[in-house]
Parts: sequence; C-alpha cells; structure tokens
Amino acid sequence: MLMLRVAFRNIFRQKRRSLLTFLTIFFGFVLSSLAIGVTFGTFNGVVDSFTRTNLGHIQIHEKDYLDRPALYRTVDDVPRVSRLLGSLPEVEAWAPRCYAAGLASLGERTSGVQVIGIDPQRENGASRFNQKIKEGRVFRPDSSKEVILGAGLAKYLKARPGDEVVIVSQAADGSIANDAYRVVGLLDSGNPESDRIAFYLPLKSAQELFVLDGKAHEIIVVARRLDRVDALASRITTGLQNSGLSVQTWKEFARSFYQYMMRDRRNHKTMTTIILMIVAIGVLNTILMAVLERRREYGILKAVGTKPRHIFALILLEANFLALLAVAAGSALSLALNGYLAVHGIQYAQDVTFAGMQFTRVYSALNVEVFAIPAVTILVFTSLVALFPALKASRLDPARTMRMY
Amino acid sequence: MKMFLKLAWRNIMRNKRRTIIAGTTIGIGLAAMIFMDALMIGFKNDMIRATTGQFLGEGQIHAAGFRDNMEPALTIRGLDGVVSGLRSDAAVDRFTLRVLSQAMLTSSAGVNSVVVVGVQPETEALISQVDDVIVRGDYFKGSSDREIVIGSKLADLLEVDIGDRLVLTVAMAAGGELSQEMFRVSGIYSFNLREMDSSMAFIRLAKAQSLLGIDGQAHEIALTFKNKMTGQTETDPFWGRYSRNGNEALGWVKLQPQMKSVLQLVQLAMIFLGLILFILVSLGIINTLFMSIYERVFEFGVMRAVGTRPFGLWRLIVFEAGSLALLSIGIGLALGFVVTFITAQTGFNYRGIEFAKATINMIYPVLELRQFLVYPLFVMIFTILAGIYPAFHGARLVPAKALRRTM
Repeated sequence: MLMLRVAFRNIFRQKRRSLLTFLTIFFGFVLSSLAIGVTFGTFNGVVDSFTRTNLGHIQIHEKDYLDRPALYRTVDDVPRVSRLLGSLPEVEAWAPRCYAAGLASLGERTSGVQVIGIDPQRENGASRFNQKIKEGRVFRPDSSKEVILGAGLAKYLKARPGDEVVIVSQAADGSIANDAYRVVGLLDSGNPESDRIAFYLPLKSAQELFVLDGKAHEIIVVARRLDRVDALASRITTGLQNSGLSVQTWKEFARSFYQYMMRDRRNHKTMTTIILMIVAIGVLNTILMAVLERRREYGILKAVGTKPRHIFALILLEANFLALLAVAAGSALSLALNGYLAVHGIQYAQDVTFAGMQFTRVYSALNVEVFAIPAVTILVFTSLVALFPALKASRLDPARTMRMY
Repeated sequence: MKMFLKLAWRNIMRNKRRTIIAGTTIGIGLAAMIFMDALMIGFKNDMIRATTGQFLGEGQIHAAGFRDNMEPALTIRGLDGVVSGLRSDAAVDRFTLRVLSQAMLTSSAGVNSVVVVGVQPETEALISQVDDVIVRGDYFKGSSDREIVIGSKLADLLEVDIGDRLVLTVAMAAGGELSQEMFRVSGIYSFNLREMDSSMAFIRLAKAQSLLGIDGQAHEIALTFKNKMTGQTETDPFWGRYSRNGNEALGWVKLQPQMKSVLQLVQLAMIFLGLILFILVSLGIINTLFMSIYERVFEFGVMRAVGTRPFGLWRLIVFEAGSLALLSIGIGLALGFVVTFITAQTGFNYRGIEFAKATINMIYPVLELRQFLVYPLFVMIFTILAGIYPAFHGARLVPAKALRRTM
C-alpha cells in the first residue's frame, strides 16, 4: 500500500518528465486506436455500399438458379420466405426480384434486354432504388404498364420518359410474352454494363408478363449489421429447410469482391501492426530513459535503506500507473474521435456519387478492438520494458551511483 | 563554431547508452516510414493485380464499338502497325493478342453459350492467370490446334473431362454463316469464381482466326505497363497514341469503373494510416529530444556557471540535435534499406486467405530512391526543429537554480 502511494506521488513530483511519458503513451494510444477504427470502418463502409446498392448481404435462390439460370427455377413460396424474414429482427430490409431476357423495341431500334421485376417499395429500402433514378420518377405503388430503363439502354433506344416501348419474350409456360410499357424514368446504377440492358418493371407486371404467378427468382436481404450477416444467413437457412432453396452471403455470390476486400483487410492489418510497433518502441524509449536517468535517485533510496525488491516494485508500479492513466485518458479522446469519424467521416475530395452513394469519405468504427488492441499492447509493453531497468536499479551500488553528478 | 560542433558530437558520444537508445528509436522510426512507403506501393500494385491480373490486363485496345456487342467483323484496324508500335513503346511491358466471339459449346450431355477466346498461349500466360489455375490437364502443352481449355463450372455443366470432345459453333465475321469445329478438352481451370469458370473457353489464336474467317486479325490486345500507374492515369499520352484510326485504347479503370471507387477508398484509408505513422514518428522524435535535454539540466547549469554564453549553449543543444539526427539517419537508412530490400526480393506470403495460388498471393514492397531522400531530410529538419524549444529552455537556465538539484 505504501509502495502504491509512493509510486503515485513520484509521478506528480517530476511533472515535466511524467507529462512527456504520459503524452507519448497517450498519443500512441489515440493514434493507433484511430488507425484500427479506420481499418474496420473502411472495410464495413466499402462492403456496405457495395452490397446495399444492388446485391444485398444475403441472396436466396432456387438451389440451381445461380449455376444454370432459367425462367422456371423460381422461389415458389414467396409468402413463406416473407413470413420468415419478417420474424427475424436482424433483417433490415428485403426485396423479391424476377429476371428474364427479352427483346425491347422503340421505333426502328431493338435491343436485347434483361427484364428485372422489382417491388418498388421494398427495393427502395433494400437497394435505394429511388436514389438511382437519373431522370423521370420511380414507380407508384399501383404502377402497371410502366417501365424504368437503364441509362445506356435508353440512349441506345433513344427513349425518353413518356415513350412507349414494346417487349417480346417467352413466358415460363412457353407462351409468347408480349406487351407495351410507358417509360417513366431512367436509371443510373453506376455500372454502365448492366445499365445497357436493364429494363425494370414492377414485380406484378413482370410476373404477369412471364406467367410467373407470384413467384420470384431472387430475394435479396439486407442485414442491420454487417458482422451479423453470417449468423443471419444460417438462421435463414435453418428456417428454409427442405424448401429446395439456397441461401448465400455476399462472400459467396460476390466472391471476387470478397477476395479483394480480404486483401484490403490484410494490408490494413499489416500497417496497423507497424503502427503498434512504433507505439511500443516509443513506450520502450520513454520508460527506459525515465528510469535510467534517475539512477542517482534510486541510489539514494537504497542508501537510506529501501530494499531492492521495493525499488523494483516501485519502478514497475510507477510505469504502469502512468500507462494506465494515459490509456484511460486516451480512451476518452479516442471514443470521441472514433465516434465522430464513425458518423461523419472525413471527406477527402469533392463528392463523387456512385449509384446514389457518396464514395469519398473515410469512416471509422467503434468496437471493442479499437480500444482493446492498443491498450493491451501498451500495458504489456510497459511492464515488459520497465522490467529490465527496474531489475538493474534494484541491484545498484548506492555508493557508486551517488557519485554521479 | 567548429568547437561547438566538436563539443556537440563529443557530448552525444559521452553518454553512449542514452545516445544509442535515442538514435535507435529515431532510426527505427525512419526505417518504418521507408518500409511503410515501400509496402504501400506493394499493396497498391497487388490490389491492381487483383483486378487486372486474372484476365483483364492493365489496358486493352479494341476497334471502336467492339465492346458494345462483340461484332466479329470489328477487328483492330491496322493490326501490324499497332503491334509494331507496342513492341517499341517504352511504356508497355507485355501484350498479347486475342480473338473473342460469342459461341455455342456442345458436348454429348448438353450445350452452353460461352465466350470463346483465341489466345497466343505464351504471351497470354504472362498477362492472365489462366495458366496458373489449371486444376486438371495442362495449359496448351500439346502441339494439336484442337486443344480447348475450359472452366471447371463449364466442365460440370457440359459433363466433360480431359480428353472429351466438344463442338464449338461460331458465326463467321463476313455474312454470319455458322462455322463448326471439334475440339478436345486439354485443360480445366478454376478461379473459384462462378463467372470466370462457367462462361469462357480458350483455344489457339490461329484456330480462332480461321474459324471466324479473320486470318491475321485480332479483336483485342491486352497489355501490362512497366509503371503500374499508367493503367489508371486517364490522361496518360499512351491512350491517345493508340486511340486513333478507329481503334480505342482504354485503361482498366475505364474497363471496370466500379472498381475505381473501391480502390480509391481503400487507398485513402492507406494514406490515412501512413499519416498516423508519420505523426507517431514525429512525436517520438520530440519526446526523445526533450527527454535527453531536460534530464541534463544539471550539466547545462554547470556549463552556464563556468561562463558559457546563453547563445553558445543554445547552439550546442541545436548542434547536438543535428548530430543525433545524423546518427539516427545512418541507423534508419541502413535498417530501412536492409529490411525493404530483403522483403522486396523475397516478398511476403500471406497464408490463411484463400486465393487461387500462392504465387498470386505475394506482396512485394517497392524500393524507390525518393524514400531514401525525402524521409531522412524530414527527420533531419524535424529533429533540429524539435531541438530548438528545449535549446531555448537550456539557454535561459539560471545556473544557481539548475545546480541546486534535488535527488
């Protein structure tokens, strides 16, 4: 107990030296915590904007649909999936879609298109559909005989809102699917390749056109939190047993993107490790100096009868006290900084809008790792680093050290 | 002046332990900055390779309009001129010719529509990774011109394996007549990516040309650059040189626009992390210098007491900071060079992440002269600047007070 009090007093006796040590550890903690936060924040941010603009975190299909897409490989019992998804609190939004190929014509021009049947309301929540409209308007809830064209397709067909486009295709039952739709809007999804063939219909109209009878080809699910996606996917899988459906997360259906992001995560981890190393070396340097420069002081302590193990304990306690103080103060600042950056981000250039998303901000994240990783590194290092000089100081020869100026 | 320099140097050499600790700390900081810089270039190259290395290439040349609908007749204009231009172009590292066509692939079990790619096996292997991810059979090792290399998913769909026959049907360039040929599956690759593994088939360039009736022509030139930046610099003069006479040359950023924003964001976070390291090293320098000067108040007090002028002491401390910086830079440069040089040769192999092959999984830091000029200069300037404040403090010491030291 006495040791604790002496150690504590020692810190405040030499204010300038303590302040320097404190600041080194403090800034080291805050900056490395910020680095870790940004690492997580970027990963989540990129993945979220990638998935939330079109693909969703989870997709449900008929089990062979992705390998061999066909009009008749459908999710038959959409109401059952709907009930399941509605009962899971982790689902933020979901939307059914159906896909079919067709030929669209306007005047002299004809183009192969991909018909995408969407539920306008649900799609707004799941993929921000309304934000991608470049011209014209979104579907109304009661819309029928209306179409939204991808920007590239509209350009090729020379279509403007108000024009009437005719589509010809084959329905699921083999009959000819043929109808005319009025263009109400043009869409820019940020992906020119898909916009060149995109032909959006309200889900009901598409189901009527292709005789799909309430069925869908794909259901996308957006989870509330990215780190809960895997757990959510396995709950959906369990809930849909024996239905002949397959449930996949973005890691599977957007595999090359996933691999890309894993590279990014690995790169960030390497950089964070280097940063932590520099922080550790800073701590090492500071503590080592602070102890070595005070040999005379420890010599006097010894001369007046302090036991070696008490000096040893004193040095360790003092260093750890300081580190704890710095980590505590650093946590407060890093909570504020990371919290702010998690919400507002830092902007680095003019906004570039990509599929209705702003893509030019770096965000941070708040989680346990942000505090735990730097805190553990610093505390462990402080103890380790103080050990050697503490041992040395406890074995000092008082007569010799006191002869130092 | 000279005396102060000598004195400063002797001073830092007198307390070897302190100097070594301080010099090593600053030196490691400098080495870390050099290494981080080299590593960031390596990461960036790796991310670009992840996007461009599988098949795309860092840039492509087509006839204008070919990308819209793969019209077989739209071959690259003046191919011989373009090829000889590329061969002598200093910016270009490697290139390969391709013929591309929509095709039907028929086996005894089924039929599938694919994009058939006629390739020059030797140069293609240097641009794309198809040869690296062969899972069964081999990559155009035989001499027959009827070899076809297909993806693993496609092999499953068509229920074929090595040695099985496939019939390829394409529409010829002139007139659109159908042209058919029998091939034998000689290799099966797997990128573990559905799209790449289910929709492409590779045959030899000459065979593809004769099938389509476009002898000596090509649809696409995929290339890589000596400098990775060229591929994403939209204003580079390279694009203008080859985007004429009805051809268009595009960088991967234009070919895959959605990756651009992802890469930008990832880069931005990198720069942010680099900045944090920079600040940390600067703080380390300040701290080291302050410590080593404030702990010596007694010593400076003695110097003042024996008659050193305040300016003389100020100069001494600043010179000491300079000498320490020189020493640290020596340590840092040596350390930074050794670490970066070795890792640049051997590369880093990250295990635990499932990528196609280990060779694709290596990161190579990139050494640049700039790293060994800018960062040491920064350390020199910053160390001297950081020494100025404590130097003022030392110069203004009152000798009597400084000497009345406590323990």
